[in-house]
Amino acid sequence: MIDLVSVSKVYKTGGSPAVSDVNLHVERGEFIFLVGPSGAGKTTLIKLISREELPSSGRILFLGHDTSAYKPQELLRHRRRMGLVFQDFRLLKSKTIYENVALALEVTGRPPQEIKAKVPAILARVGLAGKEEAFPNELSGGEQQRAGIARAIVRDPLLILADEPTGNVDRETAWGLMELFEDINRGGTTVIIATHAWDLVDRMKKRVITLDKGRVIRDELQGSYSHAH
Amino acid sequence: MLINYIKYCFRQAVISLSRNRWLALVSAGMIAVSLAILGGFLLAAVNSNQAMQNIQSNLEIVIFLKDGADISNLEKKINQLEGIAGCTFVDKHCGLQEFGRSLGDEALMAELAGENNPLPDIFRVRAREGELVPVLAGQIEQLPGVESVDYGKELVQTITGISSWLYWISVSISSLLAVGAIFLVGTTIRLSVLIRHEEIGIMKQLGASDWFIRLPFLLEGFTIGWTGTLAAIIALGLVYYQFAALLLRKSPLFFLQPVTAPGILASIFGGLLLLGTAMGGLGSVFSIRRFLKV
Repeated sequence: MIDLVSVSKVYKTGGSPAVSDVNLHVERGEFIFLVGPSGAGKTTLIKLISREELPSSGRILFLGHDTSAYKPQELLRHRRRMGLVFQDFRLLKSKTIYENVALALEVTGRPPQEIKAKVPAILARVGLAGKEEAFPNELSGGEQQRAGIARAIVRDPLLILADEPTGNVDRETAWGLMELFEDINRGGTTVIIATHAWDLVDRMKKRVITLDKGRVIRDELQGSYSHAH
Repeated sequence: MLINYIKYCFRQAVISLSRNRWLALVSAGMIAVSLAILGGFLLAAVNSNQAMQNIQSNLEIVIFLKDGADISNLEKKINQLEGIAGCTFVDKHCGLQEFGRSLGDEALMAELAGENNPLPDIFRVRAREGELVPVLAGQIEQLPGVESVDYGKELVQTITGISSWLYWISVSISSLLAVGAIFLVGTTIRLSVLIRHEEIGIMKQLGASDWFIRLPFLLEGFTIGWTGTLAAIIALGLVYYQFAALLLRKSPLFFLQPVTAPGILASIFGGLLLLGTAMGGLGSVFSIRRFLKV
């Protein structure tokens, strides 16, 4: 599904590369943790796959297509085939939870009937039934992240990219979120999560890719964070 | 899909306007003040221009004729010239009577009557537009039977000079005011966009097209621009109506007549409405441009 071929990324500000000569292959339906210390290149790798950033060298292939060569319409299609989850949730504070999730469908021009049917169902799936009319600042951190996940999965994406999704919630809530990601993955969606939460990584027994100074130093199918360190 | 999108854009514009109503009101107020000043200046400019034209149109060309000139033929030729509003023949006897009335010296008039009358026959000609006076005077001077022509050349030149200065001053100040208004509106809308740049970034990440993001902002900008300009036009219209009514009732000078032609006023107010609406819309489009590059 995703292939990274000798991918490097150097930001214009100079310094050492954020990602250096990374080669990766991701199969459809995989669940992957990206781990490593701060500044290891996890977030840059997420941004490269989501095509928020372009590689300085190398190629990223998504379903066989070079993401650097996308035309504007192809880039839109690429973004619409994936769901992004962020540490700071990135919910629109001026919109209700319902409106935040509906926005992901509205940008693709889905009809109102479909939106009305789908959004409450997704909110119920992530455990936010009855919170439709609440604004983000009326919810706890865990609930806000659930809303962020609902927005990411409402379009049935092929891929979920999550950057430190449990960084702003307590351990119990974090575990609940991981169970939610696992549930989404069981439905066939590929999930890639960049995280520092070693205990969660160790418990999940999923593929773990360890980065350090922009390089992949370990790639284990049923890895653990503690083993990586 | 397109209908859903249009509905979405209108809904978003309405929601955004109501949620950011204070900022929208400030933006509309800025546009209203800027365009009221610009519109006030434009009205002053057209009125002063009309006053100058009134002065010029009241200027008369006096044509002094040679003895034995063919009066009817000359009158025909003068009336055939482009831009003549009226032509009156005054023979030397009537001319002397007029002169005598203005002097009030009957003894002198009696002495000059008959064969001793030194005055020539004249034509008094009025031009349709003040600017035509020097041109017509030059053409008439060439006609057979014409001794000389007088039209207050120096006065015309002074008025033409003042008109020209007034025109350029009004064009310059109007342009400066328009640029100032655009800058003011652009800044206000940029502020509204800055508040919402995070929203734009998230929409881009969700796969929204640039036009999907842009159109609600454009509609919002148009609404703010249109509302502000409408307020300015209503205020300006009411003030101008009072001013025009006052001048029409008791103008102190003959040339101080307000411009009331519906065509001119409609083009000023209509132009302001278009300018204000466009300023609101374009200001928002330009303001979000840099946030679309994600």
